[in-house]
Amino acid sequence: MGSGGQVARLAIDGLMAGAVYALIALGYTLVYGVLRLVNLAHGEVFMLGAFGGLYAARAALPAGAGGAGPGVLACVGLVAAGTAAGGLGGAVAALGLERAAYRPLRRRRAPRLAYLVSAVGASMFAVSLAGKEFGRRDVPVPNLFTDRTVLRVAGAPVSAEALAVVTTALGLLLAADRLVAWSRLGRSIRAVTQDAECAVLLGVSLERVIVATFVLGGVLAGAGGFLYAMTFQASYTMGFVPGIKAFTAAVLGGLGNVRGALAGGLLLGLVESFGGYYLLDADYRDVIAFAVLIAVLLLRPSGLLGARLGRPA
Amino acid sequence: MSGGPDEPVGPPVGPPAGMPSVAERVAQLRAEDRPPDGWAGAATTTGTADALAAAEAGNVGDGEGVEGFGDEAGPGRWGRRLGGCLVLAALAALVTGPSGNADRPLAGASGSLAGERGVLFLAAALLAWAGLTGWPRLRGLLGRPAAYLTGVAAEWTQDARDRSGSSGRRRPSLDEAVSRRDRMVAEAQPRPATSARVGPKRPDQREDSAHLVPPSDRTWAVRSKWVIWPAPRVPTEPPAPTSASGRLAAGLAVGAPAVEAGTSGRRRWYRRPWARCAGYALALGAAAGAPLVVSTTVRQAMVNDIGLYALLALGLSIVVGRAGLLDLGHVAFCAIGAYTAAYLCAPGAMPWHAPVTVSPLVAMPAAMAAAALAGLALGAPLLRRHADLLSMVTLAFGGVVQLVANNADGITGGAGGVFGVPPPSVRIGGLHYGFGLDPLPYYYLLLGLVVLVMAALAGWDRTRAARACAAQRQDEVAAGALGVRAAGMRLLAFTTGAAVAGLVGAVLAAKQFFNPQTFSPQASMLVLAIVVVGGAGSRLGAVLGAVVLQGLAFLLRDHVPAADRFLYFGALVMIMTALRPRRLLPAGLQRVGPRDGGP
Repeated sequence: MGSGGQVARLAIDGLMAGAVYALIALGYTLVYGVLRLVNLAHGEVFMLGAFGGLYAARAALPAGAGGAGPGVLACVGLVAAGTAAGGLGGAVAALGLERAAYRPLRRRRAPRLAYLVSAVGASMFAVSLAGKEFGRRDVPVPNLFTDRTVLRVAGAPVSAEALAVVTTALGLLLAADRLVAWSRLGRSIRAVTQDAECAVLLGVSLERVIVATFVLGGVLAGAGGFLYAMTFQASYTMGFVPGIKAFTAAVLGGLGNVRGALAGGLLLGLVESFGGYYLLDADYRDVIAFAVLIAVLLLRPSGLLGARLGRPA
Repeated sequence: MSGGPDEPVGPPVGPPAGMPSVAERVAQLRAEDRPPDGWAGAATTTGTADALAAAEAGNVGDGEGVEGFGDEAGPGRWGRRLGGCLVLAALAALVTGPSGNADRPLAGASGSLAGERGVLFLAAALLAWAGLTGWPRLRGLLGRPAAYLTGVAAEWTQDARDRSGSSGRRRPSLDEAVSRRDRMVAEAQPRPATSARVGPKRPDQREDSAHLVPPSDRTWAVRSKWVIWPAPRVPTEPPAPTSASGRLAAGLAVGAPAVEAGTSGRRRWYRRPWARCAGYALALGAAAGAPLVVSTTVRQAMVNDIGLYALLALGLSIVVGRAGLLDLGHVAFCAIGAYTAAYLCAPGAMPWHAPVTVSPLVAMPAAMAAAALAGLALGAPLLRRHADLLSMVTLAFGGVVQLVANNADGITGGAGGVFGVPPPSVRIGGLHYGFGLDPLPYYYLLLGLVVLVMAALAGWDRTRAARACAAQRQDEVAAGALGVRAAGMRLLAFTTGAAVAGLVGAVLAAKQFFNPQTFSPQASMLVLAIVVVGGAGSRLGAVLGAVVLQGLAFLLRDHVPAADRFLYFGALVMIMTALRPRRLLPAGLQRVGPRDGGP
């Protein structure tokens, strides 16, 4: 295979990873915009969503029937069902997280550090609970696709999985972007992001916005979890590394900026994919995201697109 | 409660006539059994309502109206409480129940909830609910003795906080002076008529009536040349302005009375210096004597699980408790210290080693320096503007350090770990003592280091730098206005914490074999849990947290699988934080909400 094919292959890999990072990063960005807090347990929402989608896919596709080759429509349906179940799992997890770890503190008007500590506790709890209930080994998602290659881009084969992941993720991201831009809920989210007290005085229910933001972020992260597990595997520790990378993506695009999270995720995926091939040994791939994080914080702390949510004020 | 005489005159500050005040609107909505929405509800959530209510001075109403949200009387509250109890009981059943696996994910849940266990936990939930619902009445009955006991307990904790604060030794004259002033102000204020009411208090009273600003900070405020006074805390009903701007203004008002309700100037016998010295001596004696009466397994645990973690927690308590930062990669600095020590001390332990070999005791300062340098390099770009992102960045840093240690086979030896760092040996004059495989000398080494670090911290807590740290943590703007370089202070604390972790790394390297798995992010979180349970910013608390948490984990090792420990630690951290969000930090971090006062 020529170098052109290699480049295309790396680009496809990067897009696949980047789309998932963008899905998770949106949750960080939204919560940071509304609460000015990094949601440290967001990676666990991603992990729980992955398990939700995994068990839905297992229920829909009995074990052993994996390779039998359902048709195109069935494939689309399976991916949609898994993504929806993942989103549901993520939403439930995010809701529970907000209830258990954040709301009691908000009631008591806790200092900011308390939120972070509580989120760390919730993260520890969620990881161990998942490990206890789902086992501490990697769990594969049943094989949804039979034919590996559906089309070729510049000589590189594109697997059906990659196509499904990228299209689903991009569709969800677009929907979330429009939701924030057009809907009434999105308007209140943006209003709270710009000036919470003023928004509140104008009739926005802060409590409702916070819950909605967590749920929206949870849906996206959970769906991303299923897509990630489809390409790799699900495990109870899977939230850690993608969570950090998605946070990097959110910082890269500008914390609090929805489009920034999208662009940052895709960019980070590409940088990682190419950097992991040309610059570094594959073992050190994960270092790239950290280097990007430090570099962004040093050179352009507001991120590529600036730290704002949705349209300019 | 806050119901003073119902004055028909409108409040001095508030909305114009014709428009309901926030408090009225809230009361109205409550009467309609609707959640507070719109600007009234939002104002309550952001804390604006309290400020307004304070301004309106007792317009809130005089019954259940002031119970607070989620506390309103009636079946709605009971139902919600019941739901909460049931969910918590189900979670508890899950946590303690059998575990499932990937193929049968529901096995754990069904095993935990079905049969006798389910009935048991259901009964526990109902009992807890009944207890919670009946508690106000019960408290009326048990009021007297309970109040006495809680008073004694509060004084104890207060005492412990004093010691962990900036004054190692009590300065009685200051305390008495403040409390005298306290009394004077309290006597000058008109007494609320309803102070003898029995029953649930208002939530803000419940939380705030204790120390907003512990005496340690009072101490530096009074003693230092800067004059940042705590907000005037008037002991009557309307709370001090809780919004940041109000607090800032109040705090900067020079000469505002630093009023702290509650503590009397009376000193019990156990607060006297001789009692304190005796307590310390007893504790030290117990710590020194304890390993002599236990088996070698327990000794090993005392070194590996308790001693090392106590020292780590002491380091982290500098970062979390004194500077108010969250460091989730603390163990990464320990790793740096450990690998530095291995590099310096043993030619054969790692593929990469120093040209000269030094004793592990000599390597300890070097390991501290290396870890401090790493902390400096990580913190310097970050702490100026992005202190709120530090938690995530340190988490990533911890992951990266572990990854590099794991993969750099040519340098660190990779996943196999590091063997063969020689045990330390002491040679003074003709006397020679070598540490062997026995854990006992390491225990005393760690004990000495813990005492040393605690003493150093006690000394540091009296310096100007420590006061500056506390100042920037409480209010960065005000501290900056008074000449505190907040970023520098944060960096100092972060670097110091890293240095202590590096010291632990050196001890670990000398003590035993270690591999990259030792420095997992889980270990960092465990250290954080210890610090939180012990009380961030408390020296003794960090050590006691390690003793209690790790001791329990060791004692229950046959009953709780090691992998499940983090379930309990995580739950404990959440519960401690939710119950005592402000006690988590040593000083009164009086921030209104997550939105408030941020960058």
